[in-house]
Amino acid sequence: MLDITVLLPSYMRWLEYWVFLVSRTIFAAVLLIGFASSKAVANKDRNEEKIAFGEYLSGECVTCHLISGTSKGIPSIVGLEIKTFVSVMHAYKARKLDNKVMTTIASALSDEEIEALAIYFASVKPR
Amino acid sequence: MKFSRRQFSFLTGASALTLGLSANAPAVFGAARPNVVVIGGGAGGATAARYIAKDSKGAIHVTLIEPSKRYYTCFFSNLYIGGFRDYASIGHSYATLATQGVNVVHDWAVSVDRAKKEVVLGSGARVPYDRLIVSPGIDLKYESVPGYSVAAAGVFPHAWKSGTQAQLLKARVEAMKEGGNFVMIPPPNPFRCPPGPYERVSMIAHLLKQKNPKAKIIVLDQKEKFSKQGLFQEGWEKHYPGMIEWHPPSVHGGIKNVNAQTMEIETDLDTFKADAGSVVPAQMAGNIAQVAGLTNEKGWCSIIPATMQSKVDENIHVIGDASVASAMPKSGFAANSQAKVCAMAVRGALTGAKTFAPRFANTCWSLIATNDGVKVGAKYKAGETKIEATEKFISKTGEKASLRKQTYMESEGWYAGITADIFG
Repeated sequence: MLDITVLLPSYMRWLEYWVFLVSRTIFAAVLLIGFASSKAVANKDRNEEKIAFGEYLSGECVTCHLISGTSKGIPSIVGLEIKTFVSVMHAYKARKLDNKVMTTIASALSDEEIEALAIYFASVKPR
Repeated sequence: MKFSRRQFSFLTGASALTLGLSANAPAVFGAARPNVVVIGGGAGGATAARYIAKDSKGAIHVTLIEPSKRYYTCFFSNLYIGGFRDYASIGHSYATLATQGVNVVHDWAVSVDRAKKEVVLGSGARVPYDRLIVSPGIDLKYESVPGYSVAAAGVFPHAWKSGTQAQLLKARVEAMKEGGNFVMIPPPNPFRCPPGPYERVSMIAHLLKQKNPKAKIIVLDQKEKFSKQGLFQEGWEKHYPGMIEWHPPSVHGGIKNVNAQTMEIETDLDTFKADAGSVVPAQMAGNIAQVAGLTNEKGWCSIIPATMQSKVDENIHVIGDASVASAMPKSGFAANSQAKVCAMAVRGALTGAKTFAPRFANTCWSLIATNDGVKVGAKYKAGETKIEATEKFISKTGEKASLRKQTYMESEGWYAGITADIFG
């Protein structure tokens, strides 16, 4: 009769195998969690970078648009939804809206700059 | 001191950046809290002081030197003269700036010791700086108009720095005899607020149309053409027909004399008898810029566009009307725009704060009559030697009344926005 035990891993081999399997799973899990959280941190940093850039660019906007969110002859842009802000600015850039101050300002802004401004103004709370 | 997460990451980012650039790091970084002194609390200076205090989050000590306790804006002073605004509505206090981290000192800056990097005040106190921002606005060359003087400004107000001169001008227009003559002498280029003299003519016409409709306005200009000329002349014809005569030097031959006693203005063409008038002489950078040795042969301060640094002293920045901003006009909007570029450059130099490409903009709104507003504006970039316009716009003649009203409403919104941006 064929002794198949020779084909089986030794007790030690089994243990090793399981340790390997378990440790690999843990490692993968840790890696996954670590990766996910670092990605979250990176995303958060990236977002804060955009807010900071948007805040710098906003210097040009707040000469006319009150940062308090009050509107008086000029509409408020504080706390606007990001997609609303972006679509309005692109409409100015494409001259589908025709306020000359705004078409001039918008035409000097890149897509990234418009996005940064949108994220910044969405983050500001009206006072 | 407490930092939010965002401020903290900013600070670590800033220090990492400076570490990486330590070979070029300014000497002041790492030393005590750097000092920025700002001379002049108008649209340029107050904005710069406020932005440096706000964005450095206490890392820079900011002192603003301004003699007036209350600032009456030059922009919109014409609307006060025309009766569209009351005087109190163009006055602003420095109280908010003081609570936003700006050390507001009500005194005159009388000289700048550039070797010691100190500003000397009227009281004799000396204020040390690592960077100085000079934003003194304009001073008037009274003698540029023959016969005109500081004393004559009590009869023919220039009213080119708002305040009591604007009040005097309005009072004198209102006191004119029935059917009298108002004589306006606009300044030669370059000067503060290019459309200003013509908006003033419009506002005085508006006032006279209601109270003294037979009165005449005679404009004896010191230049052949002016800002928004087509728009103003169309508006004058429409709203004030037969009331305003505008004469360029090629017609009147030059102002030979202004006599504040006899109220006569003598030109080659004629001698005009005035019942009231306004004389706006040639201009130069505010006196402290001359005293500090920052001006060129024409009386203005040359700057490096990207940072608004003086071409004669790298520790000094000059912003607003006093600077040679090339394509940018001398306006409150432009000064506010330059102040933000300057504030960023100063923070970058003193604390290693991240800097971005400078951006400049300007719009000048003018009111011709009730609900008839026009505008001119542009975007600019910092060229190597000059600030250059990249895109321009101007209102058109024949625009619909609804658009003109919207433009006026927009200017009211801008006033609320910019004054909040300047004074906090």
